[in-house]
Amino acid sequence: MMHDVHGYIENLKAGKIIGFECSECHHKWVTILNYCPVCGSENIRDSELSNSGKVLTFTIQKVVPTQYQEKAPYAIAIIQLDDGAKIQARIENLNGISDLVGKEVIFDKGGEEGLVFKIKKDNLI
Amino acid sequence: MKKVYVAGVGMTNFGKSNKLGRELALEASIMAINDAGIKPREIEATYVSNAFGIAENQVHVGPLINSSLGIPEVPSLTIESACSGSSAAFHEAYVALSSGIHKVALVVGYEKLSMNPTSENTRYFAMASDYWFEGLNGVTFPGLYALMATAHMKKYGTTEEMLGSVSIKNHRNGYYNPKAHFRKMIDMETYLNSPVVAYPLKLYDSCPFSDGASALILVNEDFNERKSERVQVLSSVRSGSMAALQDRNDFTGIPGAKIAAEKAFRNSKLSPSDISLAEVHDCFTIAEIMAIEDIGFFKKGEGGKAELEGLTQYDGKIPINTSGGLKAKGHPVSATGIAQILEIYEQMLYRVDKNRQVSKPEIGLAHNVGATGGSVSITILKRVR
Repeated sequence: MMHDVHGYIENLKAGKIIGFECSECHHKWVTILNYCPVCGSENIRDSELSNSGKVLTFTIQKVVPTQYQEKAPYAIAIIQLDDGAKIQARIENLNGISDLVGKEVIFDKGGEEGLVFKIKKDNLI
Repeated sequence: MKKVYVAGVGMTNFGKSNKLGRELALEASIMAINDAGIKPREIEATYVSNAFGIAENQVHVGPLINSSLGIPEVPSLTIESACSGSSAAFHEAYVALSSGIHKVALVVGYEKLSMNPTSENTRYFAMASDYWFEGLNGVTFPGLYALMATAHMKKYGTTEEMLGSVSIKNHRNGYYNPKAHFRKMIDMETYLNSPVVAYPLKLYDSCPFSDGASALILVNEDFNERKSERVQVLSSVRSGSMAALQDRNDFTGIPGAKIAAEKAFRNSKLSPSDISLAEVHDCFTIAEIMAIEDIGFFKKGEGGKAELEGLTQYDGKIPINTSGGLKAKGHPVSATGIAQILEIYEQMLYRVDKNRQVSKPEIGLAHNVGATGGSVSITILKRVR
């Protein structure tokens, strides 16, 4: 049995990013896709993804949805994890950094308020 | 396949309205029926598009429209495809007419959201993303396009001024469109000083939430005896892209737009250089730059430069968004796709203000995107005499 959206959220709460891996081409991803988006194989399995990676692209959200008013401003980034999977997350410890591309980030927490990564200490410049 | 023609169009003012969505939809429908010179009883199918009717406690609007028109027995269908809803409805009508199943169809798109606060509408729009993997993290719609803008700026050197030139042009065109939401020109200084919404995108990079409706009558060749002037649908193609941005290989364009455009050109045996004008989905300025590259008007990475050089002005090499686009004309989600086709139709009949009238509008292209490209429609229209 593969995990569903709620399983993904529960796993985040337990401190793990559980995504998927294709048993044939070994592509990894996090969204709920039942066939491998690269080779089309249905032979996929749950896979714990890396908890760190680098920012590919980002935005800094100034105007935010109602439920996130208190957290603004924060960044949203698409991150390439060390195992190659791409994932979107919120980053809150901006520390005045204006360009996040290439910054090394690490999994912070996750759950019903989404997925949060933080910029690694030695990248906070 | 039977030939299909746009026979008449109608559109309410875009902006803030006190009317109900269903009233706006009916108003635009009657305008289109009158413009086409047909009677409601000649309509054989009604295609309605709406995304957020639930906010008004009203869904299933097709039967309301048909009942009002005195044609309750005519089949109706409501289609949602985020911001590309009415071009998707248009496509379904096109399929039915080109196959010969129906001869005359009404297509209408509408949206009414101005009763909601902006923060609530921002939340609504995020619902069109892959919510659990995107919206839940706190990204907004501007945020998703900002992710693409950052990638485009990094990879191709696209600048703030290039984004600004899209906004300035579309505001200029909107100034000459009496139905546009915003009818004021802006300059670069105003653009650059506007507040950041989702860095690098600012207020003047972003289209507004608008109320409004647009409609058209589509007919096939079996019904095409009444008018001498008509606009033919040469191609109507839909495609898509991976729903979540993170699942794509590249963030500097919309894969489904490229696929749909290539197929539409192949179907119509045309190329980008044959197009006299295009309405493209500029929900954000970066989206127009990506669109003119994805369609093939300009090479990848050169869209921003083309905008800055004025090549997309109404009298430029390829006029883009002579209506004012989503940026200035406004963006009533499910009314946008038909409003784009309507602009091309009115250009072809020389009905628009001379300050935005294209000189020889022979072939036009409409590019309509749902969400970040999960849905894309490309429509190619030809003026026939």
